Amino acid sequence: MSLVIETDAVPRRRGWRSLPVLLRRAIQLGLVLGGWQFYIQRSDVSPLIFPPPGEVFSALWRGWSSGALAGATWTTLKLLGISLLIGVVLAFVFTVLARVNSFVDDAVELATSMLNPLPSVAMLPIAIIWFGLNVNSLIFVVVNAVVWPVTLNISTGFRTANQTLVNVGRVLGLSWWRMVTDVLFPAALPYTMTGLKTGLGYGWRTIIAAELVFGISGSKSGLGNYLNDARYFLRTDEVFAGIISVAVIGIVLEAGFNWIEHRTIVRWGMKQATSTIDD
Amino acid sequence: MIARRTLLAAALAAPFVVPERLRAQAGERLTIAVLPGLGYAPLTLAKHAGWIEDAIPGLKINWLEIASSAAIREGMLSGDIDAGAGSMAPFLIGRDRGFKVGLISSLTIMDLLLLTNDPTVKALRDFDNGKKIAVTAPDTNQAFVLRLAAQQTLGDAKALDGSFLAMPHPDALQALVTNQIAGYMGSPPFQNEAIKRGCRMLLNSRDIVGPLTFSVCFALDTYGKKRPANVRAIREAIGKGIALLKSQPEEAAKMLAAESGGRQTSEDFTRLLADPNTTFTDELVGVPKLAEFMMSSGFLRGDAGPPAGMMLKG
Repeated sequence: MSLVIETDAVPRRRGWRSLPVLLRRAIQLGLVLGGWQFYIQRSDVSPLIFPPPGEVFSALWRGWSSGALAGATWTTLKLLGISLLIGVVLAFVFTVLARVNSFVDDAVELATSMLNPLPSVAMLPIAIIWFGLNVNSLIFVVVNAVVWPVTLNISTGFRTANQTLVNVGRVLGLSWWRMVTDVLFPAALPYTMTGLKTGLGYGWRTIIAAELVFGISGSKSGLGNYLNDARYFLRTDEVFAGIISVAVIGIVLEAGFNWIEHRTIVRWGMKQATSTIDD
Repeated sequence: MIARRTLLAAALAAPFVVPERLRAQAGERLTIAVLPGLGYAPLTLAKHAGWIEDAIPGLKINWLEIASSAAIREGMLSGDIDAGAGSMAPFLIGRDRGFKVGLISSLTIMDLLLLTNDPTVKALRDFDNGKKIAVTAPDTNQAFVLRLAAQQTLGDAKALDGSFLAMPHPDALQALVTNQIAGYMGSPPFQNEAIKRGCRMLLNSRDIVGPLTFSVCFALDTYGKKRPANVRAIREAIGKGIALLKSQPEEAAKMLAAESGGRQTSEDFTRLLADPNTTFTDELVGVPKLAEFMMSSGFLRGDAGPPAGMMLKG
């Protein structure tokens, strides 16, 4: 999104930027597809290395209409949902406890600063040793990817809550629980949303990576396994279709979250609509 | 704007540049990639004795051990690997997908055993989503023997697919003896080790498909056309290896032990070579039956053709 002020006072610029967004996107996408097709036709590259766009789209169509891709997506999203839920609940518990007790506060801060920068897939070997070769290992790894950024953001929200409001709460003699639910959580909502969005992004990357490494094959498996299977059976068009699906689902998840954000904290005036300074 | 235009140009140009570079030929260097395991012993002997270099003076051979057939295939596609060895089924799948490869030679017939360490597992139907069977990959001979067994006893070739777990042999062996997985369809020497550590055999591939070619050595058709002498040298070296394994197993065991870097002794290899589950041969056996099943169960799109047509010209 760009900050272009569309008023008559500013003369309309000619050229690329004056075109409507949809057309610009369509032209760029067309260029990519055209370049792709052109390259395939000019070089006699094997479709096993670089399949033409037509083959990839038919693989996408086959995958989604046969239910293979839909099933894999459903499995992955279900795991992601469970892990998100566990991760967010844990993050809330950690933050609330940290608010109540300064020892816990320190411990949570230490854990967050240690575990947040760690790529969560790195925990997979230990997860397999602890939980065995099943979905619990995947859930553990994804929860680990989700819980720390969410904790970090909620606790920042708590810390930056308006001191006057907190003092009012104190004067009113609110219990710690009502302080958390009535004062701190509402104040931390924008941070919580950012945390959830970051957590979702981390979780999505982690679950795909973990499934790719984990290597369960067969019917009841996720998108990472779909990619692995396509690779084992040398279906390069399906590998491309899988990657495109992963990317599109990532975009849809992110867009869904932005929509929720617009409906809540932006509408309530807790967060400004984002704009970038560009051109 | 300039930066954006440059970026766009670079993005469009990238696919023109990258695969070209990957496909560059390495000149008179020959890269051979094999999987780990006893099935590739004839090539290991050729490496140890330098038979291929003897046949083609000046040729430098780069030996790689790669744990996945798919990775070897990808290496051949990108031009990094000239000749590869792996199990028969992935070779058939590759050819079916239009990967233009031909056989240099067959290496072994092996009887693959499905092993378990779980007392509650008595038959194939006892495996499920919670009780996994490790195979190196879902496209290997092991996986297809299991699918055929599933078709014969459970009525559905894909009944076990949900319980497959892709793991390299050493990891699978470890997971099996520590009861992390319920089953493991291996190959020598890993299956022998599992039995030594108290695992039970549930089925033998010989009872399912009969004798079946397990490991093969292959190269791209284009490589066969370009370097027929190299292909012939590899084929002859494999022949020498097979002959030595049959006529002087003790001598071969010594050479294999030397190549194992001290991980296994020549006594270990002597015992393995005497194992009736392994036959070293350059003959293709049982391949039409395997190919037919792979086609009827939907893993091959077309007829694989007679085995003679799979040989690399050269």
